[in-house]
Amino acid sequence: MTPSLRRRLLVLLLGTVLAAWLATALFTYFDARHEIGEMLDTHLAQSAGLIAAQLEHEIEDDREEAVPRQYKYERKIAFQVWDRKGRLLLRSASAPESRLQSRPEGYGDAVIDGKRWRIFSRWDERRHYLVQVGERYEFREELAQSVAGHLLHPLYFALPALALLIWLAVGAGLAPLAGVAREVARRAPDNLAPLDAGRSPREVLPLVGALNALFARLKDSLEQERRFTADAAHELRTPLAAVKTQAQVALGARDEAERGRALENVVAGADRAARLTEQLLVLARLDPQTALAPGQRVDLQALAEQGVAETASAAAAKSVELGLAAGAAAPVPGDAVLLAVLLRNLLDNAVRYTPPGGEAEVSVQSVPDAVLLTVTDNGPGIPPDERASAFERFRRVLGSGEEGSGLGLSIVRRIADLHRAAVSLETGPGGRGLKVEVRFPSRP
Amino acid sequence: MKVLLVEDDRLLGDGIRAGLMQAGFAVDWTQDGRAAESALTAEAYDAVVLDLGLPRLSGMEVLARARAARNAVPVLILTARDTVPDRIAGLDAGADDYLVKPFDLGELQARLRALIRRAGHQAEPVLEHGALRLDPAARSVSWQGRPVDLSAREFAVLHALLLGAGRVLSKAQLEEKLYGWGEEIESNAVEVFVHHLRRKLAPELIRTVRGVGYMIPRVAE
Repeated sequence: MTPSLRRRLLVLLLGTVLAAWLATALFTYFDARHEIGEMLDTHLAQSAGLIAAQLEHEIEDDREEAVPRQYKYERKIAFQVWDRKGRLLLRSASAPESRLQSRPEGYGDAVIDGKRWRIFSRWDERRHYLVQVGERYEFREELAQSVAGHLLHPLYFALPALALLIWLAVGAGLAPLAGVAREVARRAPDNLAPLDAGRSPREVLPLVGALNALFARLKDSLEQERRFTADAAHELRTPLAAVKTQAQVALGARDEAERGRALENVVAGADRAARLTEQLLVLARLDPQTALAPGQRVDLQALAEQGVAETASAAAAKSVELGLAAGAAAPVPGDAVLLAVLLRNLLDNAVRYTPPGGEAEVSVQSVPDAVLLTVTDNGPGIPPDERASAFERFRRVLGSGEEGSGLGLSIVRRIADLHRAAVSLETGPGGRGLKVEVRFPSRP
Repeated sequence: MKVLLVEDDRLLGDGIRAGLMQAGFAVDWTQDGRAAESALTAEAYDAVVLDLGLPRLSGMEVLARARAARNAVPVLILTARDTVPDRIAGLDAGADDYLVKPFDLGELQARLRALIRRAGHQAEPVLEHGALRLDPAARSVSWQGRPVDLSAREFAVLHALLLGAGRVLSKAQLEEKLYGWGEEIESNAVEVFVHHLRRKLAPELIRTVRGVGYMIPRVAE
């Protein structure tokens, strides 16, 4: 069964009311029993006193006499009159022939024929007769039970009525909650505007607040996704336009040389579109990732060797001298695949923006608490005021004459963030080119 | 017809330049906004093909500054941004036409011809001048109903003179319309082309205004 707040409140409230009522009845019962006991004890003593006072006149000879039973309660009340010699002079029909209690004076309890009796004994003024008056305990219990029981009677009618009222009241009380639920349910899927917290009661506010926070986060991430998709589509349009235009130039070429050049450009354009797509996919895969699998360690030096080896042929084709500084193994916590992507992007950039005949170098250095991965080149560099924005998506360095995807540094930054590494851009050695430094913490 | 191409993407810019040259346009190509701005101040173009996402100075800013400087050159915006608000913003900023990437080269050429034609207050796509007919789209010329075979440069000189019929065009102005940046200008080239035109068409069609330049007089209608 689905947990229901209404049912829960109904059971709790009804239970509380019932418990309070029963406690009252129980208390009343004990209280009544006590009070009735005191009252009837007094009554018992008075009855004994009355009988004792009457004895002066009425008992003339020594005879045993049973007073006939007359009233409803008489079976439950009994008396005996004994003389000093221990002879039974007078008794009620309900009384046995043996002594009600052995105690000569005062209150006492006795069991007669399996029934409990309350007994009072006293001597008359002249101490000739012993009067014993008894009353069944059952009588007292009945009275107390009847008083407490009367208190319980209304419950038979009140409880169902109360249940109904509580059910309705709780429903009315929970109406704001239902209102919030209805508002959320009624929403169009793209409506992520915050719920109106102004009309919500205090108890529902945390829920509305949490929902609104969720809406805000969803909106942000949807907006980010939408912007990314739009940007990606726009960015792909330019290389596609280049491919199409160059293809049409080839179609309209007046000589073989022109056609050949245009066709080469078609291929270059297609390569660029492919690379852009690949980078977009890398970013799209990275975007939802928030943490790395723990416990893995990667040797940056070995990774750098591998990266330099992979980029070497592209560098050679461009007459860029790409080198790796000698260094020892430098393990850092991280993801080997992602770090390889980071390194490849840095190396690609270095080779891409370094003019033919230039140099690029990678070094891995262990310092206290950190490992520094540095890639330097002597290309055009990035002016200081553009360094901060260089990490933005689709941002290209101006005047480089090179067509990057504009995503390389975004990818580097994203992967560095996942590794809690800091990326900084500086002027390269000798005051020219670019130095990219990624500072990895050496401990997780 | 000389066109300023402002496009920062190397491959695309190269393609457009080659494509426009195939259609007989002379093309100056700049890759950033500031260079475009100075080119627009320095030279008179028949049309501008303007990319919006430019380094240093955005295409919109280039356009706004040109219009503020009372430069009425027809501007065709070339951009990847294709939403209606983007188009409206571009046209309202003073653009004459709008083309979204990727586009068709033929359409770009045709739109530029149309822009240039309208800028010359001319409704007919085909220029007629007496017995002369010049079709800019087909790049064909006929004289007295006979097709005449002209080289690209000869065609361009004739086209410029016809568009400016009644006005004298200097040798320098004609050269500007014939050559893009980086193209070598042979001395006497304009004289040679005019000479060829006179020979292929009619000697009296193009007049020399001594010390000033050349003109095709307006036809009395």
